Amino acid sequence: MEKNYFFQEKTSLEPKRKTINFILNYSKSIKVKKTALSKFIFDLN
Amino acid sequence: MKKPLIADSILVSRYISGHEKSLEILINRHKQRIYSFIYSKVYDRDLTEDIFQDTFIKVIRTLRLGNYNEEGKFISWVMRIAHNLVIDHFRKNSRLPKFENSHDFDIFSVLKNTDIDIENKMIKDQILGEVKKIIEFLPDDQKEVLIYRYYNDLSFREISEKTGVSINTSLGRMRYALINLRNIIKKKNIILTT
Repeated sequence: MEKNYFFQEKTSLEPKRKTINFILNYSKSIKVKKTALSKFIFDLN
Repeated sequence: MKKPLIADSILVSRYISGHEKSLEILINRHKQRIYSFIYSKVYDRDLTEDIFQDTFIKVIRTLRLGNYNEEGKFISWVMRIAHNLVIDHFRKNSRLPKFENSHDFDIFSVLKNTDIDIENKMIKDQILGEVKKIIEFLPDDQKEVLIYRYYNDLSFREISEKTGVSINTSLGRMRYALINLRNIIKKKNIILTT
């Protein structure tokens, strides 16, 4: 069969589930510590 | 019956006060737009995933530190972060050596670097185009020096010959032109990387 070079596989342009999970886990893993002068972020992972 | 859509600003406030689910809703609501935007600049799936991830890490950190101001739309702010990260990526890559000094010549490394050069040129052209619009606000003598120097690539000696003023005057006009440009950009709140 002749190859169709114009054919493009349709893929959705959106992030992988694991990327979203990483972001959501990151959000859950950090804690904000407030001091008199400023705020700091601690990564609990 | 369809549930009414919760506004981004409400979801942001809820997330800041500890409602993690709101972040998920925001990501799912805007993921395609942000991802497509990044992909349209870098044309690489893995890199797009990385920049998408870094974008939201920056979003999370800013929100959690209470540094987000709600002047604009949430999505515009996120897109601006994504855009800046794309630019950072290209800037970082343009500082890297172009070729590995190995015996095996890899044609793909050449092609990839050419792509980066084209992309960098596009970004530079886009920024210069934006600057061109702002230059119109400058006084004529300053505008003239700036255009000769940056757009026509003339030396200050050539500029002084063309304009009939001394090199020092040309330098002075350039200095004031840059100061005024910065002030205009600041006053009009223009972001040149967008």
